[in-house]
Amino acid sequence: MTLLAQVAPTAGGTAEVVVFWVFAVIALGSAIAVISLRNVVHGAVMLVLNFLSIGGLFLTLESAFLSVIQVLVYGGAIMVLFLFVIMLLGVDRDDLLQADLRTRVLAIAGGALLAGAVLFAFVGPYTSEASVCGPDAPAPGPGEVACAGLAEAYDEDDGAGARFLGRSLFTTYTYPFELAALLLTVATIGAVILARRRDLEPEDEDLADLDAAAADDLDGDDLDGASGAAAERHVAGDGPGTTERGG
Amino acid sequence: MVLAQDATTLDVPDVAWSSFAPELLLTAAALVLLLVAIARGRQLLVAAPTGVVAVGLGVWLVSTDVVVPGAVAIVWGLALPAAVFAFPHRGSLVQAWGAGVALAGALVLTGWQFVTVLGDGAGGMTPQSALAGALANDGIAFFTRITVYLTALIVLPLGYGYLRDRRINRAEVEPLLLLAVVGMAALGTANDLITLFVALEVLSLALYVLTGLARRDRRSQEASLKYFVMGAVASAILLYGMALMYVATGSLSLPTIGSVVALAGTNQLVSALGLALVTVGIGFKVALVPFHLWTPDVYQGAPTNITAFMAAATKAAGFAAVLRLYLVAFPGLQGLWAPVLAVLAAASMLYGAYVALVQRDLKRMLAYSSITHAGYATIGVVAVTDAGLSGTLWYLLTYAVSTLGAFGCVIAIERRRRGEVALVDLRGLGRTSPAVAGILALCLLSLAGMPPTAGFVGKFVVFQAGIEAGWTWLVVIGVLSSIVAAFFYLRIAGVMFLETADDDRPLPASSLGLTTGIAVSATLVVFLGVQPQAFLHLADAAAALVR
Amino acid sequence: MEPSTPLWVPVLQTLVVFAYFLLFTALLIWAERRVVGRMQSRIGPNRIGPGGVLQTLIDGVKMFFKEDVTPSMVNNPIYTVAPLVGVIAGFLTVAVIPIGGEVTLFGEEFTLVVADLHVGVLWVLALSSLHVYSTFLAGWASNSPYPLMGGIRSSAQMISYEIAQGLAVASVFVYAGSLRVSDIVAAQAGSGPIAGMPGWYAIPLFPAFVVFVVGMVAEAGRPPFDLAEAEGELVGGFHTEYSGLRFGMFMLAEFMSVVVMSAIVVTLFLGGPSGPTFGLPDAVAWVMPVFWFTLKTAAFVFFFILLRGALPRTRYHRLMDLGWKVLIPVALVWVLVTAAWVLVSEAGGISAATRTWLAVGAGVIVIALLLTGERQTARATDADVDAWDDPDRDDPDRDAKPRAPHDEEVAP
Repeated sequence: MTLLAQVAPTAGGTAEVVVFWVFAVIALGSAIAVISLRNVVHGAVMLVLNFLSIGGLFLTLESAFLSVIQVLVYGGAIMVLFLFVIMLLGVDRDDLLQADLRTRVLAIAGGALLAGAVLFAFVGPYTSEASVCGPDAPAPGPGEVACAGLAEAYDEDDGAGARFLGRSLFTTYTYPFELAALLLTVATIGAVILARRRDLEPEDEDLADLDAAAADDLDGDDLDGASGAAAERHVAGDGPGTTERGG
Repeated sequence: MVLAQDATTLDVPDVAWSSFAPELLLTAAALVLLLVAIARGRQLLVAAPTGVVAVGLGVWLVSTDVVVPGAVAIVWGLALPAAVFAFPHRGSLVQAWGAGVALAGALVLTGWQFVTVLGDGAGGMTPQSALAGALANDGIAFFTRITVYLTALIVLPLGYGYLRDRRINRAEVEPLLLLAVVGMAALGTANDLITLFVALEVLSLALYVLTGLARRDRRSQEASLKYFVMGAVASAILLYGMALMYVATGSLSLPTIGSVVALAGTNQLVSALGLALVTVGIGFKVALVPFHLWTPDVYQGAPTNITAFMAAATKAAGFAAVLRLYLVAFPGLQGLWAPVLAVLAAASMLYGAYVALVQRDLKRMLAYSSITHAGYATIGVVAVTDAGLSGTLWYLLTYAVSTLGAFGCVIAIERRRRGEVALVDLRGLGRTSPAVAGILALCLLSLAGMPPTAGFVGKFVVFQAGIEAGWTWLVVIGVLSSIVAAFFYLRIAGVMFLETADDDRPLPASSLGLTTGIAVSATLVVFLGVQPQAFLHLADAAAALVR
Repeated sequence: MEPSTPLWVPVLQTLVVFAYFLLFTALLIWAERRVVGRMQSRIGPNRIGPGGVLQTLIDGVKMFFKEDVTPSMVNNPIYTVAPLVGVIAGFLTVAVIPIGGEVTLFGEEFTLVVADLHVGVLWVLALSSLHVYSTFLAGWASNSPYPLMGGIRSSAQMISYEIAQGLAVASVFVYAGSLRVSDIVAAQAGSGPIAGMPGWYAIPLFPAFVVFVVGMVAEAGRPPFDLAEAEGELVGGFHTEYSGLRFGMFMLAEFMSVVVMSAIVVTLFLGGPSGPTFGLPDAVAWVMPVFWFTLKTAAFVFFFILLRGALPRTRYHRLMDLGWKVLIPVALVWVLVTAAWVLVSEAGGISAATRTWLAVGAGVIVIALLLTGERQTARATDADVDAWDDPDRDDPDRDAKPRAPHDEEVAP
């Protein structure tokens, strides 16, 4: 419990510790359920639960703003869209999730490695005596480990973080903030392009300089026709990453 | 009014407009062009007021002695309504011209930045950091901008006729291209982790969509999906690595991370983990072996002009991020990452060259060649010297112009072949269409690193930096791989000039834009090969970083 | 909670608030049946209790003891959990709504609110966004076409209207400068620019108020926006396969969301429990805020009932058009306008009264734009439906072609 006590020194009370453990167990359990449940919708619902419990964990860190935003954005908006797509496309069949043994073993090994490394790297240093955390923590000396960023957040009086966040966004991080606006614009344009059912009518006539036969089947659709020349051109023998196109 | 007292204490950030003026111009141009596209028949309703505003802004800027940006604004403000007037029923031409003038303006603004804002009067530059440290205007930024803007400027005419040929009639292509360019330039200037990541996503998202432009072509759709899925995974890994870096150092700013990483008190294990994940993520973006798996399929499936853009510009932007991450944020962990990157570079050079050897499809072969070139560029990174830095920047520029020329020729050949261009399609091209064949051969020689082309100077500079930094084995592998690569590049030339054609007809006539684009790239390939001094000097001067 | 507060205070607060809303919901169901009955020239329930007021209680008992049929095809446990989600989300939302002012009891002074969070407004939005899961998952878990359609309809509807509602709420907290519900209520307590005129945000933020009210009808899934359970089209929509107690939970959740939404709009736009106390002695003065709050909320509940009795159900695409093309732009513009003059009036020292008048003026303009905009939307969508048999209707250029043939040359 050292970690919690360090980052939330005002907590102290046992209730907070209980809440932490409850949410921590739910978060871990639901996260495991997300990847182990065979039904996609069940997995998605578990992911919602996971996001909610992460929101709860933010509460134990006294960051109510972050907590509510977590519920609102992840639990409310993103996951609803997620489920919406799953249901609309009817991909809730479990045969999509078949993985062969080799993939499975590799995935488990990789996950365990990452988890182990992260646990080792975090739980070791940040819960030891050498760790320097909390709002009143002095600057870390040699051999000590600082809790990154938390001290900054604790400078704010009400602990809500909303004001701190807003101020950061509009001062220190103006440029990435505006870039993020650009990112959303690009995403919107992309969505419109991909969703539009049909291209515009061709508006110009410089196709005329192509020979007439060629102009007819410029579309990629016809590329798959297995003519002799095409077959010859298809002797693709390269290493991994090759996909043979179905003709 | 709870916030009232606080609102007055908010320190308004100091916005140095000059530091991102080219991107600002391009963003504005992209958004206006989108509006023009939406307006369709009423284009003038958008173009005229925009022009008035732009000219007004330009006049105001000139009157406040900011002459060059003012002039650029005026020119663009006049060009847009002029294009609308000139091509009343050709929306796509308006788009292309609007975007082209904006890109040229961005190049001018970059030069202006270099001369007046960053220049030290003696041809060198003083790096600046702006916008609360989110943005760095230094050598990497300068060279990335030059490469990316130049690439986009050449790709526009290259692709214009091509998209019409393939019946890809989409008004959003040019705006999306411009926004991708903005993302790349922002990646080149990003000096903190958040900006870096968001910029990377801007360009990636735009490229995912551009890759899938040919919606009736299944390969294009497949490429887009593949790129998107793998790119998203890579971004997630990169983000996780960045989060770990933040945990380890408590800062998002790259220079601060650089100074904190070196401290004894820093959690080295977390830093190393973060570094490893960042390497994986960024390795994907620049297509280093073994994170290259997406490259051949995406390069082959994407519309060829987009492939050209991806190969030339994305590589430059990706390596800008690589250079900045490793040279600014992680020099303290040099002992850790330099050997790893060197191994990746060696693997890329050997594997890319080896697999390109057996390719039949020209686009796929160029894709594998781009993997080898990522390896060559990495030599300059692992050198961790100023010479290596400027070598990589210079190398990316030479690679960009060479690959643009090569892909331009592929586009020209595709006019006959309508899709894939296999090796057998090139038979006798030297006799039927000697100009295209000659330029293709020239660009391939440049990619192979033969004198007197730009590619030779590029490789020379990078190898030299590698040897000076003591990476002899890596350079030896680089030379070996160049020899293998030269074989398959020369084989193409052989097929074109020595074999007889099945089809005696010359290629269909190229459009004016295509011809111009190919000619400009070819000229640059020769010019940079014969007269590299001016740009090399620039690259040396640009080896100044915001640290 | 301050450490000195005895445990019974929060327990009492919680009980009082929940009992209040539960009772309100029960009365709403009865009132709805009576009022709609009157509008349809019939009587409505009149047997149990005076005027039939206990009818809801009896219905509840009936549902409780009715056989709870679980079709064999359903996807448990989601089928079982779905009704609970709605009820829980509804109950949790009311936690931040103050139903009255200060109360002094046994020497302890407290407010009639469960938790006055400093992010209270966001809490309301977050929970209303979780409410979607109830209908949505119920529709999916029923494993039946009509419920699935209902679930998909409801999720699309709620997501769309949540955006508009969230933006409307954003202009409230930008204007108030706080996310805390009690601050927002306190900011509306004074009088407006004219003496005697209330300082309610519905006046300066009129467009946001309108957007919120329209949005809340859609969010509660009530007529004329009850597309998710449209009985004429989808049998019962998402709850077709439910019966007994679990169906009762859906009913409770739906009617409760009517009350909760009314309470929210009263709190955010109509001053919440504020109102004159008529110089009553302190001992009973605490009744007045509760009375005012109840009165205002009841007025909105009555509004909901009138809508149900008076309006036919809209078509689905009209619903979406209204949400995306009218409400969201208006709300977005309004947030910008609000933010702009909060800044301007702070910088220029404009008085609160002037500011309100400015706001009202801008509101009139936006509403005028809204009305003209909506007429255009209506025209466009009618054209869509008329063209239903047009084989060319998927063509994005279809609109452009007949209207402006000179726009573009069409290539051969």
